[in-house]
Amino acid sequence: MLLSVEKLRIAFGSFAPVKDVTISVDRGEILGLVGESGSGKSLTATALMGLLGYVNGHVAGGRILFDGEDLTGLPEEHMRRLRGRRIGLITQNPMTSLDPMIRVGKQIEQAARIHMGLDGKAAYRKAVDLMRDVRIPDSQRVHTLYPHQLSGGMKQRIVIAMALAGEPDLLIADEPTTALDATVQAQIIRNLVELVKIRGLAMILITHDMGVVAQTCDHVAVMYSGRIVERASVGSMFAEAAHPYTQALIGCIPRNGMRPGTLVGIPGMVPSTAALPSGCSFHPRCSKAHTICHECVPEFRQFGRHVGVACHLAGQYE
Amino acid sequence: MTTIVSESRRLRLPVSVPAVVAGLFIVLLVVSAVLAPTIAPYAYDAQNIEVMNEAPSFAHFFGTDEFGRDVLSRIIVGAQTSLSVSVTAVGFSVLTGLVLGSVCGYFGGLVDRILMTVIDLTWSFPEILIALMLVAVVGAGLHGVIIAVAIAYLAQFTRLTRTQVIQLKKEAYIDAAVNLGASDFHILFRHLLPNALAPVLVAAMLATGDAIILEATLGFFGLGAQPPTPSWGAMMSSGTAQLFVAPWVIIIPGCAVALTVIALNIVGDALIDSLDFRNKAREG
Repeated sequence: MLLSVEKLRIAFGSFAPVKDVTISVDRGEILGLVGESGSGKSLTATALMGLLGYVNGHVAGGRILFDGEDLTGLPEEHMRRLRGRRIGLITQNPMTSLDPMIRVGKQIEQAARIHMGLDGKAAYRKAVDLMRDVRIPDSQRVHTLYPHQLSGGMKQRIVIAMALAGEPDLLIADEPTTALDATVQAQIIRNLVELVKIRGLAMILITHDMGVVAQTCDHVAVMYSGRIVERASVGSMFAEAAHPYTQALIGCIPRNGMRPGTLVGIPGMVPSTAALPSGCSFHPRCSKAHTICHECVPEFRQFGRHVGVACHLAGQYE
Repeated sequence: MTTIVSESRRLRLPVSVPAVVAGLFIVLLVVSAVLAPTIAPYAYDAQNIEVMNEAPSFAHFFGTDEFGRDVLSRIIVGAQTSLSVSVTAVGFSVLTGLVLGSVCGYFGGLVDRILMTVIDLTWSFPEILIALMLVAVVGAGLHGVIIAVAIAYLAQFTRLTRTQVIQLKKEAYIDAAVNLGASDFHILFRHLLPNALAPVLVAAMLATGDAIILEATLGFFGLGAQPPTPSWGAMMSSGTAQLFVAPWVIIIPGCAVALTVIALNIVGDALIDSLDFRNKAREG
C-alpha cells in the first residue's frame, strides 16, 4: 500500500472532530472518500498534507503510513518537501486558488521549480506539457494569460497541472468539481481518472456525490461525523450497501426513469461535532434505529464482501 | 451604437482631465528639475545688486529676491532639492515599511508585537515633531531631512503592508502555494508582496506630497538645505523678511509647493480609482 491511514484521530485541544479513520489506497487506484459537509473529509485531507498546524489542530492518535514512513511525527521541514512533491492536493475552489497577479503558465512553472529544480526553458516545456496533459487547448497561448481571463473549468485544469508539477505519487482531490458547471465536471473527472491510470498515481477523491464515485472509484470509504462507517470496493458497495447512511446516499443519486418527486433526501442534519448524539451518531436520522443504537457506539466489523461496516443492525434488518 | 460603446468606455476609464493635467504638471516639474542647470535662465546663486527685489518682468519672470537672484531659476533648482529629498525619503520609507510590514504580518507573534508597538509609538506624535527631533539628533542638512522624513512616514507604510499581508494570507492561492510545498520566502516575495504592492504605491504617491510639505517646513526652519543651495522652504523663509516689499519671493515658492502637492494628490486619487477599476475587472 502506498498510503494507509490507521485509526487516525484529529483533535483541536480536547475536542476531536475526526475520531477513527482507517483508509488505504495504492498506486493506480482511486479511493472515494464520501460524506456530507462537516463529516471530517477535508480535515482528513489536511492531516494527510501535514497542515493541521495551520488550523491549530493536531493528530491525537493513529498513524499515517505513506510509502512506509509515518507522517504524523515528521518535522515541518521534512513534511514541506513531501507536499507537492510526493503528495499533491487539488482544492475545491479554482476561482481563488490562483494568484491573480501571475500568468497561469508561470504559476505552473513555479510549482515545477519548487521541487524539481528546473531552469527557465525546462520549466516552460514542463508547464506546456502539463497543460497538454490536462487537456488545455492552445497551451502556448494560455500560458501567457492571467487567471481572470480563464473560465472556471480552465482554472481547475491549471490547478490540477500545478498539483502534478512535482510529479507526486498520491493525489488528493478535495471536491475538485463542486464549484464547476455540470458539463465541465464530467470532463474534469474523466481527465483525472485518465491521469491516475496513465501515470500510476494513487488518488483520494473526496466528494459527496455517489454518482461520481460509482463511475470513477475502485474503493469507497463513507464518513459520518468523524468516523468511517462503511468501507468496500465500489462493486460491493453499490451491490449491498450495509449502512443505512450509505443506502441513503445512494438513494440520493437521480436515476433515469425516476418519476418526478421520488428523489429522496436524508432527513435531519449532520450533528454538530461538539454535541454528538449518544451511541451511533447517525441514529437520530436513521429510519431503522433500535434501542441499542441509542446506547452503544457500533464497532467497525467485517461484513459480507465489504471491508467492514459500523452498524449494529447491518444484515439484520429487512 | 458606436457612440454608446465609446461613451461607456470613456465613463469606465478612470483617467479624468484633472488627472491628466496634474500628471503633465508633475512630468514637467520632474523634467525641469532634472535639466535644472541647463534650462534655468540664470545661475541660482548669481547675485545682482542692481535688480534687488525686482517685481516679475520679462527679464525675471518670477522677479528677484533680496540679493537680486532670479526667483524662477531658484524655483527650478529648488524643485531638484524638494523632489529628490522627498522621493528618496519616501522611497526609503516604503522599502523599509514593506519589509517590516510583511515580516510582521506574515509571521505574527512576538516579533510582530514588539515591532508594531515601537512603530505605533511614532504614530502618537505629529510628523513635524518627530522630524524636528530626528533632525536635532542627526544634524541639519539634506541627509538629516531625508532620514527624518523617512522615519516620519515609516509607520504608515509598515501598517499598510502588514494589514495587506494579513488579509492576503487568508487567500486560497496562498494555501495553494503552501500545499505545493512553497517556502515562506517564496510565499512572501512571490505571492504576498506583489499583491500587497498596489495600495502601498498609491499611499507612497500621496505621502510624497506630504513629504514635500514636511521638507519645505524643515527648510523654512532652516534645518534643510543650507544656503546657498535653494529649497522651496528656505526660499519662503527668506521671503518673510520682504513680505511687504517683494511678496513674490514668498508667494512663488509657496505656490510651487501647493501646486505640486495638489498635483500629486490628484494623481494619487486617480491611481486609487484605476486600481478599483482593475480589481473590478479582475473579479468580473
